[in-house]
Amino acid sequence: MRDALARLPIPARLLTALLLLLGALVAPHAANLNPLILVFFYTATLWRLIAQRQPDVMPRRWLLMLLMIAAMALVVATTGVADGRLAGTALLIVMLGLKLLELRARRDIQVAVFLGYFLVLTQFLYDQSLPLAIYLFAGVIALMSIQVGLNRVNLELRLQLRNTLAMLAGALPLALVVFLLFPRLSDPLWGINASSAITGISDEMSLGDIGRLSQSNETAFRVRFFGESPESDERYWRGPVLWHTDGQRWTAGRHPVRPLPPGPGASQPIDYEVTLEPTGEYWLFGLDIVTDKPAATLLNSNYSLVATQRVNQRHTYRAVSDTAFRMQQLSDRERDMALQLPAQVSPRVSELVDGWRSTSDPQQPIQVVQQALAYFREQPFVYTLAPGELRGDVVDQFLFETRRGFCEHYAGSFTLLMRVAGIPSRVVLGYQGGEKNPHADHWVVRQSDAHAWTEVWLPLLGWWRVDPTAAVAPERIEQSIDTALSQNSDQVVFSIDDLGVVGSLWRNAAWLADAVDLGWHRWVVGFTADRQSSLLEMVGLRDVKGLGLALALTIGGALAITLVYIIAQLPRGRTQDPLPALWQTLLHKLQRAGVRAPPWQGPDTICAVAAESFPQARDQLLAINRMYIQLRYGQCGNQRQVGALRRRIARLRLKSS
Amino acid sequence: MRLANFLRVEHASAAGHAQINSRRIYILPTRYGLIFAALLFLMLLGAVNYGNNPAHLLTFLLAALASNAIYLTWRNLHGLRLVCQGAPAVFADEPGQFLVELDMDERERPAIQLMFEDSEAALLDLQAGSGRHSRTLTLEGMPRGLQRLGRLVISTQYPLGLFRAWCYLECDRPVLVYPRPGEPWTPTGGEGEDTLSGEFGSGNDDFMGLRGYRPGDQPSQIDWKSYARDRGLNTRMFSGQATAPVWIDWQQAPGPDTESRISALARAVIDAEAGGRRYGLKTPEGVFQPASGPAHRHQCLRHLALFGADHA
Repeated sequence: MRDALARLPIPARLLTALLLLLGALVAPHAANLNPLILVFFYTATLWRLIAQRQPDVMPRRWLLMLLMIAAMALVVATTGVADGRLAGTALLIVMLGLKLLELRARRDIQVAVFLGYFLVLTQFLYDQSLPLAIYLFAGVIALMSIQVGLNRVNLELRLQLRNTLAMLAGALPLALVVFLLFPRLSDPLWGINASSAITGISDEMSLGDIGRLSQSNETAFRVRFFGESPESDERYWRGPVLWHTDGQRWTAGRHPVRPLPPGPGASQPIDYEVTLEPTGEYWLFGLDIVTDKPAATLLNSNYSLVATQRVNQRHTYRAVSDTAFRMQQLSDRERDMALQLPAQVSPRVSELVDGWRSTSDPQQPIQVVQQALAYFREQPFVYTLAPGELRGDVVDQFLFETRRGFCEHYAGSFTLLMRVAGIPSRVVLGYQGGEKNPHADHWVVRQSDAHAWTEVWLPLLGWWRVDPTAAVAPERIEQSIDTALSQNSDQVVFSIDDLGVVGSLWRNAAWLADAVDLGWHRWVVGFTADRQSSLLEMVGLRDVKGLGLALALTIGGALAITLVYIIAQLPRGRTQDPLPALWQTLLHKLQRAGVRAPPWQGPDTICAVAAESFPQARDQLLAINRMYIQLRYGQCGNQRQVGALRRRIARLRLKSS
Repeated sequence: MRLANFLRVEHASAAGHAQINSRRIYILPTRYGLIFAALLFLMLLGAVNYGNNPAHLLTFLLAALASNAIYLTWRNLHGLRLVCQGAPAVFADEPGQFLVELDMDERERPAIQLMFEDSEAALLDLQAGSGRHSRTLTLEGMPRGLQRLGRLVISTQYPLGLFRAWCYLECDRPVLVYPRPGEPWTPTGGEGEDTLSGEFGSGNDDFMGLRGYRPGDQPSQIDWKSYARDRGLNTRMFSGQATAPVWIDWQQAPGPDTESRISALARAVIDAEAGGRRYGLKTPEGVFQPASGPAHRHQCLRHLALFGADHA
């Protein structure tokens, strides 16, 4: 008896809207769940839709019980109980389906709407991409306006939506404050099954067994520089370092990976933030050379950044690099490793190297390096993504016969040549280059920017980067490879700016989407404990934890609420009553035509005076007067009549006769 | 609801006007509000466990929405102006109609529920605009007498149904409940002059015309033909009924006890008025000289309604 609303029948339109909406919100789970679960849910939804026309097909209680048992069995049989996330989602969806089948009273819908909110949450556990998030939040808005509709007597869809949006606008500041200040855990409360590995750079390299390198245009990572960005020939993103070779394969070797002690710091620090796409590996990429590592990562003795756990989700980290920094250490053990040679080196290779050594100063190994680079530059080497497969002595064939290859061929054979010449050297994998997003403040490094280069040890200088690919194809270093054009041709096509109108529009749109996507990641998806504390530091709250954070949360929340209420209480600029404004319009018109309308005169008098001055407009004036008085002082009036009056006043023409 | 006596209650003015004051509004979560709180807790747990930021955002958005709903629900009642017009007199055990008028505002006030503590609830969406919206509350049948109604409960759960704001309004608008009319009978004699010739509506007298139906008219006197022609309920009037005044006397009323006598007297008053006769009423508590008309009928029925009560 207390709640009359609860006993009202379900408005048909509202229920239809809810059923369709829930169907749309379940749909993205097709990618995650067993199809049978979805079939169960959509059957239930369809059943309820039909029951709306024919109420007698609503299932009875015993049938619902049977369906529930069947649903449980279905969940256990199809998804099992091992993966809590999957089982929970499946259970939620079948329960939602069953709930739809027992919706009878108006307030039952309320629970279905609640389950709908939870459904949206489960979607985020599988996919946090921006397009899906936009889709889901639109769904949340629709759910809210259905909830608002439930709690009023008569449905007014436009009003409901408007009220919902106003309520959301009011809730947003508080939600954002809590979002920014709510403490984040770095470890989950319960175990989570990690997802499987994804494409990216691996920590080994093999020459010759890939006839055609298939490159993807996918983003590897995005970088924001705080301050100056380095020149293109300095944008080498350092990954794993390879020491050991058998002539064909390069691997990291059995090198003791130990963390570096804190270095001397950068002389020309470049401060930047990387948002790495999931790789499934431990490697992080930093600008050559990282001097100040991000928290919770290691900088190993190769100056490669290593995460403490596999990067299975987008990961944002901030680091400092110095492109002028020199790695000076070389232990005896490292020297041995950097001179390691495969079991066999072909005579042609030894001959070539001997030639260089005989014409250079043994105290100046750099002369050998320069001769080797000159060799690559002057002989007819071709940079191509489709070099064809190589067998046997890969380096020998590449250097003297095919002379076609991509960065791995050049880096691998160059490093081997250096070692034959007695110069300690190693291969570095990573990315080179990157493209600035013209609409945002960040650079995009793609999988097609993956690169391999060589480091040689020179006395006094330390480890020195040499990129033999640059000797062959300097434009590879200046520009990115256009994967779409290069894929099907023998020649590598580098990105050019002349794209035509459609092409440049498309490219602009892609860049914009990229900017929005990074913003979504930086501020929402990748807002980790680290980012939270660096944000707090920015506003002067250093090392705020626990109680302090709770205090900040309370104060911030209170401020947000107060702000919204102050705005809500502000007087509305637009008056609700359109009639005074209409009357003013008429008065202006009359005054322009020369009719005196002093403020103490009422509509009757003013219109009568005007009608005398303008006899041909008399009927119009009297009609306006009648309508105005009816609307202003009469019992009722609606929007249509006000519109009619407005049109009449607009059409009124006063010409002096 | 004894507890309610200690609570703050809004009082309507003598004319029935009242405006809901901020300090008189109570607000508590509904059952769905509690379910929603549990849901938010579960959502937060999921978001924290999976370190999932979009899930955090969704949870906080819903929580902020719910916390704002406290204010919005409260505001939906706050400042509401209404007038308790009261209910016209009814016969005992018949449903009464209590009229309430609500002032419209520049803001709409959806889903306002009005209810006396034990009556049917009335629900309305009060639209934005100017003017008044009137609404009748159906009261349950009551015993005869001047019945004080309990307090009016004005409540709302708009916009999200998570909170219920309500306030108590005491409006001093008692309902006069006439006695329930008994079986028809014929009062005999008046002032020793004539005796009545037969029952009312016997049909022997000349037909005088029709008048509008009044509650209590006998079914045999209703002009069913005109009702069938959609002209509403009318009662046939006959000449001769108006000639001699009839005395409706406590002493003559049939019935074993006071209540059944009062019922019989009420029936006689109704019939005499319906028959268009002049009639007087004699009870141990008072005498009404013969007269006729709605005012006289009301006087007599009121006297009977309050018979035996201290304040009569």
